[in-house]
Amino acid sequence: MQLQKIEAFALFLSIIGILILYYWPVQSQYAQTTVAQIKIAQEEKWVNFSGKVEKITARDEGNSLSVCDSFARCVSVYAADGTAGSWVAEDPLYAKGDVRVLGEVGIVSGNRFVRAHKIDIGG
Amino acid sequence: MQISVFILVLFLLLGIFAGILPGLHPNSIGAVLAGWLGGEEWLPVGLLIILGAYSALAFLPSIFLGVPEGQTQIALLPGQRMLMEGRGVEAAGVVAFSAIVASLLSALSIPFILPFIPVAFEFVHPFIGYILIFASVMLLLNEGREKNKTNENAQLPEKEKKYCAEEGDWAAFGALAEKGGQMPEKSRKDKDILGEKEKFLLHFKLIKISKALIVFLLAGALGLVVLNMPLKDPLFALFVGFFTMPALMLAKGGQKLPEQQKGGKIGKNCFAYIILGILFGALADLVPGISTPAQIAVFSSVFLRMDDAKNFLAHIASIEASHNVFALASGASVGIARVGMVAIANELSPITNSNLPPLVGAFLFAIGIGAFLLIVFAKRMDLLVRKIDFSFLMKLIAIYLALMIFFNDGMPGLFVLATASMIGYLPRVWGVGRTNVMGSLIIPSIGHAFGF
Repeated sequence: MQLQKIEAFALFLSIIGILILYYWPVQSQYAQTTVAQIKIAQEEKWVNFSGKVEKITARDEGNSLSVCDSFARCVSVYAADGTAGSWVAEDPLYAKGDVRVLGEVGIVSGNRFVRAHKIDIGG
Repeated sequence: MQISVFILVLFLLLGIFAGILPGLHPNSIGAVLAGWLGGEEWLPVGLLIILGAYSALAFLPSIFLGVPEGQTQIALLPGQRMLMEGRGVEAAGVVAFSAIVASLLSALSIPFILPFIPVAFEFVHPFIGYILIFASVMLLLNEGREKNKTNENAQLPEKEKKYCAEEGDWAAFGALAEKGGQMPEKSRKDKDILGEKEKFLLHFKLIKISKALIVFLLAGALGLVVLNMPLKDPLFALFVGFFTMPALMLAKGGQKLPEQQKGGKIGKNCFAYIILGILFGALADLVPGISTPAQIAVFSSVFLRMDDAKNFLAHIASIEASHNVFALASGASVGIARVGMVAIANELSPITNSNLPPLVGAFLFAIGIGAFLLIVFAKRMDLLVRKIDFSFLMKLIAIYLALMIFFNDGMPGLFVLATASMIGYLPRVWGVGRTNVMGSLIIPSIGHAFGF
Protein backbone atom coordinates (compact mmCIF):
# COMPACT_ATOMS: atom_id res chain seq x y z
CA MET A 1 0.00 0.00 0.00
CA GLN A 2 1.34 3.44 -0.91
CA LEU A 3 1.76 6.30 1.53
CA GLN A 4 -0.98 8.41 -0.08
CA LYS A 5 -3.45 5.57 0.42
CA ILE A 6 -2.41 5.22 4.05
CA GLU A 7 -2.94 8.95 4.57
CA ALA A 8 -6.44 8.65 3.09
CA PHE A 9 -7.09 5.58 5.24
CA ALA A 10 -6.00 7.54 8.33
CA LEU A 11 -8.40 10.37 7.55
CA PHE A 12 -11.17 7.82 6.93
CA LEU A 13 -10.54 6.34 10.39
CA SER A 14 -10.67 9.76 12.01
CA ILE A 15 -14.03 10.43 10.30
CA ILE A 16 -15.38 7.12 11.63
CA GLY A 17 -14.11 8.08 15.07
CA ILE A 18 -15.72 11.48 15.06
CA LEU A 19 -19.03 10.05 13.84
CA ILE A 20 -19.04 7.57 16.73
CA LEU A 21 -18.08 10.33 19.15
CA TYR A 22 -20.93 12.58 18.07
CA TYR A 23 -23.49 9.79 17.56
CA TRP A 24 -23.05 8.55 21.14
CA PRO A 25 -23.07 11.62 23.38
CA VAL A 26 -20.87 11.50 26.44
CA GLN A 27 -23.06 10.26 29.27
CA SER A 28 -22.05 11.56 32.62
CA GLN A 29 -21.92 9.22 35.57
CA TYR A 30 -23.24 12.07 37.69
CA ALA A 31 -27.06 12.02 37.65
CA GLN A 32 -28.72 15.43 37.76
CA THR A 33 -30.42 15.36 41.18
CA THR A 34 -32.20 17.58 43.70
CA VAL A 35 -31.57 17.76 47.42
CA ALA A 36 -34.91 16.02 47.99
CA GLN A 37 -33.92 13.14 45.70
CA ILE A 38 -30.61 12.71 47.53
CA LYS A 39 -32.58 12.05 50.73
CA ILE A 40 -33.84 8.81 49.18
CA ALA A 41 -30.97 8.03 46.81
CA GLN A 42 -29.11 4.73 46.87
CA GLU A 43 -25.70 4.59 48.47
CA GLU A 44 -22.76 5.12 46.06
CA LYS A 45 -24.97 6.83 43.48
CA TRP A 46 -23.09 9.60 41.67
CA VAL A 47 -25.02 12.83 41.87
CA ASN A 48 -24.85 16.37 40.51
CA PHE A 49 -26.90 18.99 42.32
CA SER A 50 -26.96 22.68 43.15
CA GLY A 51 -27.73 24.60 46.30
CA LYS A 52 -26.64 27.31 48.69
CA VAL A 53 -24.01 26.77 51.34
CA GLU A 54 -25.63 27.47 54.71
CA LYS A 55 -23.12 26.16 57.20
CA ILE A 56 -19.53 24.99 57.20
CA THR A 57 -18.07 22.68 59.84
CA ALA A 58 -14.36 21.96 59.94
CA ARG A 59 -13.45 18.26 60.12
CA ASP A 60 -10.14 16.47 60.68
CA GLU A 61 -9.26 16.13 57.01
CA GLY A 62 -11.69 18.48 55.30
CA ASN A 63 -14.93 20.35 55.75
CA SER A 64 -18.62 19.51 55.97
CA LEU A 65 -20.91 21.87 54.13
CA SER A 66 -24.62 22.05 54.64
CA VAL A 67 -26.02 22.71 51.16
CA CYS A 68 -29.70 23.68 50.99
CA ASP A 69 -32.26 24.18 48.24
CA SER A 70 -34.82 26.97 47.96
CA PHE A 71 -37.26 25.01 50.17
CA ALA A 72 -34.67 24.94 52.99
CA ARG A 73 -34.13 21.22 52.57
CA CYS A 74 -30.47 20.56 53.29
CA VAL A 75 -27.96 17.82 52.71
CA SER A 76 -24.52 17.45 54.22
CA VAL A 77 -21.60 17.51 51.78
CA TYR A 78 -18.20 16.28 52.91
CA ALA A 79 -15.29 17.87 51.03
CA ALA A 80 -12.03 16.19 51.90
CA ASP A 81 -8.87 18.29 51.72
CA GLY A 82 -7.68 18.37 48.13
CA THR A 83 -11.12 17.89 46.60
CA ALA A 84 -11.41 20.09 43.53
CA GLY A 85 -13.12 23.32 44.56
CA SER A 86 -13.09 22.53 48.27
CA TRP A 87 -11.31 25.84 48.86
CA VAL A 88 -14.78 27.38 48.55
CA ALA A 89 -15.34 26.40 52.17
CA GLU A 90 -12.22 28.27 53.25
CA ASP A 91 -12.96 31.48 51.39
CA PRO A 92 -15.34 33.89 53.14
CA LEU A 93 -16.26 35.42 49.78
CA TYR A 94 -17.79 32.18 48.55
CA ALA A 95 -18.59 30.41 51.81
CA LYS A 96 -22.25 31.35 51.76
CA GLY A 97 -22.72 31.25 47.99
CA ASP A 98 -24.38 28.99 45.48
CA VAL A 99 -22.47 25.89 44.52
CA ARG A 100 -22.80 22.91 42.22
CA VAL A 101 -21.65 19.67 43.80
CA LEU A 102 -20.51 16.54 41.96
CA GLY A 103 -20.19 13.62 44.31
CA GLU A 104 -21.23 10.25 45.63
CA VAL A 105 -24.02 9.45 48.07
CA GLY A 106 -22.93 7.90 51.36
CA ILE A 107 -24.89 6.76 54.41
CA VAL A 108 -23.73 7.15 58.01
CA SER A 109 -26.04 6.10 60.87
CA GLY A 110 -28.97 6.11 58.48
CA ASN A 111 -28.32 9.69 57.33
CA ARG A 112 -27.45 10.38 53.73
CA PHE A 113 -24.64 12.73 52.83
CA VAL A 114 -22.66 13.47 49.68
CA ARG A 115 -18.93 12.81 49.46
CA ALA A 116 -17.84 15.61 47.12
CA HIS A 117 -15.69 14.87 44.09
CA LYS A 118 -15.81 18.45 42.92
CA ILE A 119 -17.43 21.71 43.95
CA ASP A 120 -18.14 24.44 41.43
CA ILE A 121 -18.98 28.02 42.30
CA GLY A 122 -22.34 29.22 41.06
CA GLY A 123 -24.42 26.17 40.64
CA MET B 1 -23.53 16.01 26.37
CA GLN B 2 -21.23 16.48 23.41
CA ILE B 3 -17.70 17.79 23.42
CA SER B 4 -17.28 21.13 21.68
CA VAL B 5 -15.13 21.41 18.57
CA PHE B 6 -12.87 23.93 20.29
CA ILE B 7 -12.10 21.55 23.17
CA LEU B 8 -11.65 18.67 20.75
CA VAL B 9 -9.05 20.61 18.74
CA LEU B 10 -7.34 21.76 21.94
CA PHE B 11 -6.92 18.19 23.21
CA LEU B 12 -5.80 17.05 19.80
CA LEU B 13 -3.04 19.67 19.83
CA LEU B 14 -1.99 18.52 23.31
CA GLY B 15 -1.75 14.94 22.02
CA ILE B 16 0.30 16.04 19.02
CA PHE B 17 2.75 17.97 21.19
CA ALA B 18 3.00 15.06 23.64
CA GLY B 19 3.83 12.76 20.72
CA ILE B 20 6.48 14.82 19.00
CA LEU B 21 8.16 16.30 22.06
CA PRO B 22 10.14 13.62 23.90
CA GLY B 23 9.73 13.77 27.65
CA LEU B 24 6.23 15.23 27.59
CA HIS B 25 4.33 12.15 28.76
CA PRO B 26 0.54 12.07 28.32
CA ASN B 27 0.11 10.61 31.83
CA SER B 28 1.66 13.77 33.26
CA ILE B 29 -0.72 15.90 31.17
CA GLY B 30 -3.63 13.69 32.23
CA ALA B 31 -2.78 13.99 35.92
CA VAL B 32 -2.58 17.80 35.70
CA LEU B 33 -5.84 18.05 33.75
CA ALA B 34 -7.64 15.67 36.13
CA GLY B 35 -6.75 17.90 39.07
CA TRP B 36 -7.73 21.03 37.22
CA LEU B 37 -10.82 20.00 35.24
CA GLY B 38 -11.81 16.86 37.15
CA GLY B 39 -15.55 17.53 37.23
CA GLU B 40 -15.98 18.23 33.53
CA GLU B 41 -18.02 15.55 31.80
CA TRP B 42 -16.02 15.74 28.60
CA LEU B 43 -12.59 15.35 30.23
CA PRO B 44 -12.36 11.53 29.81
CA VAL B 45 -13.06 11.98 26.09
CA GLY B 46 -10.39 14.67 25.96
CA LEU B 47 -7.86 12.35 27.61
CA LEU B 48 -8.58 9.66 25.01
CA ILE B 49 -8.00 12.21 22.24
CA ILE B 50 -4.59 13.03 23.72
CA LEU B 51 -3.77 9.32 24.01
CA GLY B 52 -4.82 8.57 20.42
CA ALA B 53 -2.75 11.33 18.81
CA TYR B 54 0.18 10.51 21.07
CA SER B 55 0.07 6.76 20.30
CA ALA B 56 0.76 7.34 16.63
CA LEU B 57 3.09 10.33 16.82
CA ALA B 58 5.31 8.96 19.60
CA PHE B 59 6.96 6.83 16.89
CA LEU B 60 8.30 9.97 15.16
CA PRO B 61 11.12 10.69 17.65
CA SER B 62 11.75 6.94 17.96
CA ILE B 63 12.38 6.54 14.24
CA PHE B 64 14.06 9.82 13.33
CA LEU B 65 15.89 10.83 16.49
CA GLY B 66 16.47 7.50 18.21
CA VAL B 67 14.68 8.77 21.29
CA PRO B 68 12.58 6.23 23.15
CA GLU B 69 9.17 7.70 23.84
CA GLY B 70 6.39 6.48 26.10
CA GLN B 71 5.64 2.81 25.79
CA THR B 72 7.12 2.39 22.33
CA GLN B 73 10.75 2.24 23.53
CA ILE B 74 11.54 -0.91 21.65
CA ALA B 75 10.34 0.60 18.35
CA LEU B 76 13.47 2.65 18.02
CA LEU B 77 15.53 -0.44 17.21
CA PRO B 78 13.80 -1.43 13.93
CA GLY B 79 12.88 2.22 13.29
CA GLN B 80 16.49 3.36 13.47
CA ARG B 81 17.59 0.39 11.39
CA MET B 82 15.20 1.44 8.61
CA LEU B 83 16.30 5.07 8.91
CA MET B 84 19.92 4.04 8.44
CA GLU B 85 18.87 2.14 5.32
CA GLY B 86 17.25 5.29 3.95
CA ARG B 87 13.74 3.99 4.72
CA GLY B 88 12.68 6.36 7.51
CA VAL B 89 9.57 7.60 5.71
CA GLU B 90 8.60 4.03 4.88
CA ALA B 91 9.00 3.14 8.58
CA ALA B 92 6.57 5.95 9.46
CA GLY B 93 4.16 4.60 6.84
CA VAL B 94 4.36 1.10 8.31
CA VAL B 95 3.61 2.46 11.80
CA ALA B 96 0.71 4.60 10.55
CA PHE B 97 -0.85 1.73 8.58
CA SER B 98 -0.43 -0.75 11.43
CA ALA B 99 -1.85 1.63 14.03
CA ILE B 100 -4.91 2.35 11.87
CA VAL B 101 -5.66 -1.29 11.07
CA ALA B 102 -5.04 -2.44 14.65
CA SER B 103 -7.21 0.31 16.16
CA LEU B 104 -10.07 -0.37 13.78
CA LEU B 105 -10.01 -4.16 14.18
CA SER B 106 -9.60 -3.93 17.95
CA ALA B 107 -12.55 -1.53 18.19
CA LEU B 108 -14.69 -3.82 16.04
CA SER B 109 -13.80 -6.83 18.18
CA ILE B 110 -14.77 -5.17 21.49
CA PRO B 111 -18.42 -6.36 21.50
CA PHE B 112 -17.25 -9.95 21.00
CA ILE B 113 -14.43 -10.02 23.55
CA LEU B 114 -16.12 -7.98 26.28
CA PRO B 115 -17.90 -10.96 27.89
CA PHE B 116 -14.71 -13.05 27.93
CA ILE B 117 -12.41 -10.53 29.60
CA PRO B 118 -13.38 -11.34 33.22
CA VAL B 119 -12.97 -15.08 32.55
CA ALA B 120 -9.58 -14.55 30.92
CA PHE B 121 -8.46 -12.37 33.85
CA GLU B 122 -9.28 -15.11 36.32
CA PHE B 123 -7.64 -17.79 34.21
CA VAL B 124 -4.32 -16.03 33.53
CA HIS B 125 -3.75 -14.46 36.93
CA PRO B 126 -2.32 -17.48 38.86
CA PHE B 127 0.22 -18.32 36.12
CA ILE B 128 1.59 -14.90 35.30
CA GLY B 129 4.86 -15.28 37.23
CA TYR B 130 5.65 -18.59 35.52
CA ILE B 131 4.73 -17.19 32.09
CA LEU B 132 7.16 -14.30 32.64
CA ILE B 133 9.98 -16.59 33.77
CA PHE B 134 9.47 -18.94 30.81
CA ALA B 135 9.42 -16.01 28.39
CA SER B 136 12.58 -14.53 29.96
CA VAL B 137 14.45 -17.83 29.61
CA MET B 138 13.33 -18.08 25.98
CA LEU B 139 14.49 -14.51 25.40
CA LEU B 140 17.98 -15.29 26.69
CA LEU B 141 18.27 -18.61 24.86
CA ASN B 142 17.19 -16.83 21.71
CA GLU B 143 20.29 -14.67 22.07
CA GLY B 144 22.55 -17.60 21.21
CA ARG B 145 20.32 -18.68 18.33
CA GLU B 146 20.08 -15.25 16.79
CA LYS B 147 23.79 -14.58 16.82
CA ASN B 148 24.55 -17.96 15.35
CA LYS B 149 22.15 -17.23 12.51
CA THR B 150 23.95 -13.94 11.90
CA ASN B 151 27.28 -15.74 11.83
CA GLU B 152 26.14 -17.99 9.03
CA ASN B 153 25.37 -15.00 6.86
CA ALA B 154 28.38 -12.86 7.59
CA GLN B 155 31.68 -12.92 5.78
CA LEU B 156 35.16 -12.90 7.27
CA PRO B 157 38.10 -11.17 5.67
CA GLU B 158 40.12 -13.69 3.58
CA LYS B 159 43.30 -13.04 5.55
CA GLU B 160 41.65 -13.97 8.85
CA LYS B 161 40.01 -17.07 7.36
CA LYS B 162 43.37 -18.25 6.12
CA TYR B 163 44.97 -17.62 9.47
CA CYS B 164 42.38 -19.69 11.28
CA ALA B 165 42.57 -22.54 8.85
CA GLU B 166 46.35 -22.78 8.67
CA GLU B 167 47.31 -22.00 12.21
CA GLY B 168 44.46 -23.88 13.83
CA ASP B 169 44.10 -21.05 16.32
CA TRP B 170 40.69 -21.90 17.68
CA ALA B 171 40.54 -19.09 20.16
CA ALA B 172 41.02 -16.68 17.29
CA PHE B 173 38.45 -18.59 15.27
CA GLY B 174 36.00 -18.35 18.14
CA ALA B 175 36.51 -14.62 18.36
CA LEU B 176 36.08 -14.33 14.63
CA ALA B 177 33.05 -16.61 14.66
CA GLU B 178 31.56 -14.24 17.16
CA LYS B 179 32.06 -11.43 14.70
CA GLY B 180 30.42 -13.44 11.95
CA GLY B 181 32.96 -15.97 10.76
CA GLN B 182 32.52 -19.02 8.53
CA MET B 183 34.30 -22.30 9.17
CA PRO B 184 37.17 -22.56 6.70
CA GLU B 185 36.49 -25.16 4.00
CA LYS B 186 39.68 -27.07 4.72
CA SER B 187 38.79 -27.54 8.35
CA ARG B 188 35.21 -28.54 7.66
CA LYS B 189 36.39 -31.72 6.01
CA ASP B 190 38.11 -32.84 9.13
CA LYS B 191 35.60 -34.60 11.38
CA ASP B 192 37.65 -34.19 14.56
CA ILE B 193 38.14 -30.56 13.96
CA LEU B 194 34.44 -30.27 13.14
CA GLY B 195 33.76 -31.54 16.65
CA GLU B 196 36.09 -28.87 17.96
CA LYS B 197 34.22 -26.30 15.96
CA GLU B 198 30.94 -27.35 17.53
CA LYS B 199 32.52 -27.07 20.95
CA PHE B 200 33.76 -23.60 20.25
CA LEU B 201 30.48 -22.44 18.80
CA LEU B 202 28.72 -23.78 21.88
CA HIS B 203 31.32 -22.10 24.06
CA PHE B 204 30.76 -18.74 22.39
CA LYS B 205 27.02 -19.21 22.38
CA LEU B 206 27.19 -19.74 26.15
CA ILE B 207 29.36 -16.66 26.52
CA LYS B 208 26.78 -14.68 24.55
CA ILE B 209 23.95 -15.94 26.70
CA SER B 210 25.95 -15.19 29.85
CA LYS B 211 26.61 -11.65 28.69
CA ALA B 212 22.94 -11.23 27.81
CA LEU B 213 22.02 -12.56 31.25
CA ILE B 214 24.33 -10.03 32.93
CA VAL B 215 22.70 -7.18 30.98
CA PHE B 216 19.23 -8.58 31.75
CA LEU B 217 19.97 -8.86 35.50
CA LEU B 218 21.71 -5.49 35.79
CA ALA B 219 18.82 -3.80 33.99
CA GLY B 220 16.41 -5.73 36.22
CA ALA B 221 18.18 -4.57 39.38
CA LEU B 222 18.04 -0.99 38.18
CA GLY B 223 14.38 -1.43 37.27
CA LEU B 224 13.60 -2.68 40.78
CA VAL B 225 15.23 0.40 42.29
CA VAL B 226 13.83 2.93 39.83
CA LEU B 227 10.23 1.68 39.88
CA ASN B 228 10.22 2.07 43.65
CA MET B 229 11.58 5.62 43.54
CA PRO B 230 9.17 8.54 43.76
CA LEU B 231 9.84 9.72 40.19
CA LYS B 232 7.30 11.38 37.92
CA ASP B 233 8.39 9.58 34.78
CA PRO B 234 10.84 6.80 35.73
CA LEU B 235 10.59 4.93 32.43
CA PHE B 236 11.63 7.96 30.43
CA ALA B 237 14.92 8.43 32.29
CA LEU B 238 15.50 4.66 32.22
CA PHE B 239 15.02 4.18 28.48
CA VAL B 240 16.78 7.34 27.38
CA GLY B 241 19.72 5.90 29.32
CA PHE B 242 19.39 2.43 27.85
CA PHE B 243 18.99 3.42 24.22
CA THR B 244 19.72 7.05 23.36
CA MET B 245 22.79 7.85 25.46
CA PRO B 246 24.82 4.79 24.35
CA ALA B 247 24.03 5.70 20.74
CA LEU B 248 25.41 9.16 21.45
CA MET B 249 28.54 7.76 23.08
CA LEU B 250 29.25 5.69 20.00
CA ALA B 251 28.21 8.31 17.42
CA LYS B 252 31.02 9.34 15.10
CA GLY B 253 31.65 12.99 14.28
CA GLY B 254 30.46 14.22 10.89
CA GLN B 255 28.07 11.29 10.52
CA LYS B 256 25.14 12.06 8.25
CA LEU B 257 22.05 10.06 7.54
CA PRO B 258 21.76 8.33 4.20
CA GLU B 259 19.43 9.87 1.64
CA GLN B 260 15.92 8.83 2.49
CA GLN B 261 13.60 7.26 -0.06
CA LYS B 262 10.54 9.35 -0.76
CA GLY B 263 7.97 6.65 -0.34
CA GLY B 264 7.64 2.96 0.06
CA LYS B 265 5.08 0.22 -0.13
CA ILE B 266 3.65 -1.62 2.81
CA GLY B 267 3.73 -5.26 1.84
CA LYS B 268 1.11 -7.88 2.61
CA ASN B 269 3.60 -9.65 4.88
CA CYS B 270 3.05 -6.93 7.48
CA PHE B 271 -0.58 -7.87 7.81
CA ALA B 272 0.13 -11.11 9.67
CA TYR B 273 2.32 -9.22 12.14
CA ILE B 274 -0.42 -6.64 12.64
CA ILE B 275 -2.99 -9.33 13.43
CA LEU B 276 -0.58 -11.00 15.83
CA GLY B 277 0.12 -7.58 17.33
CA ILE B 278 -3.60 -7.15 18.02
CA LEU B 279 -3.71 -10.51 19.80
CA PHE B 280 -0.61 -9.68 21.82
CA GLY B 281 -2.04 -6.22 22.55
CA ALA B 282 -5.09 -7.88 24.09
CA LEU B 283 -2.73 -10.03 26.12
CA ALA B 284 -0.99 -6.90 27.45
CA ASP B 285 -4.29 -5.83 28.96
CA LEU B 286 -5.01 -9.23 30.45
CA VAL B 287 -1.70 -9.97 32.07
CA PRO B 288 -0.73 -7.93 35.11
CA GLY B 289 2.99 -7.25 34.98
CA ILE B 290 3.25 -7.19 31.22
CA SER B 291 1.93 -3.72 30.98
CA THR B 292 3.87 -2.12 28.18
CA PRO B 293 3.78 -2.92 24.46
CA ALA B 294 7.57 -2.96 24.53
CA GLN B 295 7.55 -5.93 26.91
CA ILE B 296 5.03 -7.80 24.79
CA ALA B 297 7.00 -7.06 21.63
CA VAL B 298 10.18 -8.43 23.17
CA PHE B 299 8.45 -11.63 24.23
CA SER B 300 6.71 -12.12 20.93
CA SER B 301 10.05 -11.64 19.13
CA VAL B 302 11.14 -14.87 20.81
CA PHE B 303 8.38 -16.80 19.08
CA LEU B 304 8.06 -14.90 15.81
CA ARG B 305 10.60 -14.30 13.06
CA MET B 306 11.47 -10.61 13.33
CA ASP B 307 14.35 -10.49 10.85
CA ASP B 308 12.59 -7.83 8.80
CA ALA B 309 12.58 -4.47 10.60
CA LYS B 310 9.37 -3.55 8.81
CA ASN B 311 7.48 -6.51 10.24
CA PHE B 312 8.82 -5.86 13.72
CA LEU B 313 7.75 -2.23 13.53
CA ALA B 314 4.28 -3.19 12.25
CA HIS B 315 4.00 -5.62 15.15
CA ILE B 316 4.98 -3.03 17.79
CA ALA B 317 2.70 -0.33 16.37
CA SER B 318 -0.28 -2.68 16.32
CA ILE B 319 0.43 -3.85 19.88
CA GLU B 320 0.55 -0.21 21.03
CA ALA B 321 -2.73 0.73 19.31
CA SER B 322 -4.71 -2.38 20.26
CA HIS B 323 -3.37 -2.28 23.84
CA ASN B 324 -4.98 1.15 24.24
CA VAL B 325 -8.31 0.11 22.72
CA PHE B 326 -8.49 -3.08 24.77
CA ALA B 327 -7.62 -1.09 27.92
CA LEU B 328 -10.94 0.69 27.42
CA ALA B 329 -12.75 -2.64 27.06
CA SER B 330 -10.97 -3.94 30.13
CA GLY B 331 -11.96 -0.81 32.07
CA ALA B 332 -15.61 -1.28 31.08
CA SER B 333 -15.58 -5.00 31.79
CA VAL B 334 -13.58 -5.45 34.99
CA GLY B 335 -12.85 -1.85 35.99
CA ILE B 336 -9.10 -2.28 35.54
CA ALA B 337 -7.23 -0.32 32.89
CA ARG B 338 -3.51 -0.92 32.37
CA VAL B 339 -2.92 2.25 30.34
CA GLY B 340 -2.26 5.36 32.43
CA MET B 341 -4.55 7.75 30.56
CA VAL B 342 -7.40 5.20 30.46
CA ALA B 343 -6.95 4.60 34.19
CA ILE B 344 -7.22 8.36 34.85
CA ALA B 345 -10.34 8.55 32.64
CA ASN B 346 -11.77 5.58 34.54
CA GLU B 347 -11.17 7.30 37.86
CA LEU B 348 -12.82 10.52 36.68
CA SER B 349 -15.89 8.72 35.44
CA PRO B 350 -16.02 4.91 35.54
CA ILE B 351 -15.97 3.41 32.07
CA THR B 352 -19.17 1.49 31.43
CA ASN B 353 -20.77 -0.11 28.40
CA SER B 354 -22.82 3.05 27.92
CA ASN B 355 -19.93 5.50 27.73
CA LEU B 356 -17.49 3.12 26.02
CA PRO B 357 -18.50 4.03 22.41
CA PRO B 358 -17.71 7.77 22.62
CA LEU B 359 -14.38 6.99 24.31
CA VAL B 360 -13.45 4.50 21.56
CA GLY B 361 -14.67 7.01 18.95
CA ALA B 362 -12.47 9.72 20.45
CA PHE B 363 -9.45 7.39 20.37
CA LEU B 364 -10.09 6.32 16.74
CA PHE B 365 -10.52 9.92 15.65
CA ALA B 366 -7.28 11.00 17.27
CA ILE B 367 -5.15 8.04 16.21
CA GLY B 368 -6.39 8.56 12.64
CA ILE B 369 -5.24 12.18 12.72
CA GLY B 370 -2.04 11.15 14.49
CA ALA B 371 -1.26 8.52 11.83
CA PHE B 372 -1.91 11.03 9.06
CA LEU B 373 0.36 13.61 10.68
CA LEU B 374 3.03 10.96 11.31
CA ILE B 375 3.45 10.49 7.56
CA VAL B 376 3.25 14.23 6.86
CA PHE B 377 5.87 15.02 9.52
CA ALA B 378 8.07 12.08 8.50
CA LYS B 379 8.38 13.46 4.98
CA ARG B 380 9.58 16.77 6.42
CA MET B 381 11.69 15.27 9.19
CA ASP B 382 13.62 13.46 6.52
CA LEU B 383 14.67 16.79 4.96
CA LEU B 384 15.47 18.32 8.35
CA VAL B 385 17.49 15.43 9.74
CA ARG B 386 19.43 14.88 6.51
CA LYS B 387 20.65 18.48 6.28
CA ILE B 388 22.35 18.54 9.64
CA ASP B 389 25.17 16.58 11.16
CA PHE B 390 23.43 13.63 12.82
CA SER B 391 25.95 13.28 15.65
CA PHE B 392 25.66 17.03 16.40
CA LEU B 393 21.88 16.64 16.44
CA MET B 394 22.23 13.68 18.80
CA LYS B 395 24.28 15.80 21.20
CA LEU B 396 21.65 18.55 21.17
CA ILE B 397 18.96 15.94 21.79
CA ALA B 398 20.97 14.41 24.63
CA ILE B 399 21.27 17.82 26.33
CA TYR B 400 17.56 18.45 25.82
CA LEU B 401 16.67 15.01 27.23
CA ALA B 402 18.94 15.43 30.25
CA LEU B 403 17.30 18.81 30.93
CA MET B 404 13.82 17.29 30.58
CA ILE B 405 14.76 14.49 32.98
CA PHE B 406 16.21 17.01 35.43
CA PHE B 407 13.07 19.15 35.08
CA ASN B 408 10.81 16.12 35.72
CA ASP B 409 12.75 14.28 38.41
CA GLY B 410 15.73 16.38 39.48
CA MET B 411 19.03 14.79 40.50
CA PRO B 412 17.52 11.32 41.14
CA GLY B 413 16.36 11.33 37.51
CA LEU B 414 19.87 12.16 36.32
CA PHE B 415 21.27 9.40 38.53
CA VAL B 416 18.90 6.92 36.86
CA LEU B 417 19.91 8.29 33.45
CA ALA B 418 23.63 7.85 34.16
CA THR B 419 23.27 4.31 35.52
CA ALA B 420 20.97 3.23 32.69
CA SER B 421 23.41 4.71 30.15
CA MET B 422 26.22 2.55 31.50
CA ILE B 423 24.07 -0.58 31.35
CA GLY B 424 22.78 0.39 27.91
CA TYR B 425 26.37 0.67 26.68
CA LEU B 426 27.10 -2.99 27.47
CA PRO B 427 24.97 -4.67 24.75
CA ARG B 428 26.65 -2.53 22.13
CA VAL B 429 30.21 -3.37 23.17
CA TRP B 430 29.40 -7.03 23.91
CA GLY B 431 27.41 -7.56 20.73
CA VAL B 432 24.29 -8.86 22.46
CA GLY B 433 20.71 -7.78 21.81
CA ARG B 434 19.68 -4.42 23.20
CA THR B 435 16.27 -5.90 24.00
CA ASN B 436 17.88 -7.54 27.05
CA VAL B 437 17.61 -4.23 28.90
CA MET B 438 13.88 -4.97 29.04
CA GLY B 439 14.86 -6.97 32.11
CA SER B 440 14.31 -3.60 33.83
CA LEU B 441 10.56 -4.10 33.44
CA ILE B 442 10.37 -7.88 33.34
CA ILE B 443 12.21 -8.63 36.60
CA PRO B 444 10.08 -6.22 38.68
CA SER B 445 7.01 -7.77 37.04
CA ILE B 446 8.15 -11.26 38.05
CA GLY B 447 8.74 -10.01 41.60
CA HIS B 448 5.30 -8.43 41.63
CA ALA B 449 3.69 -11.62 40.33
CA PHE B 450 5.18 -13.61 43.24
CA GLY B 451 4.15 -11.01 45.77
CA PHE B 452 7.55 -9.36 46.44
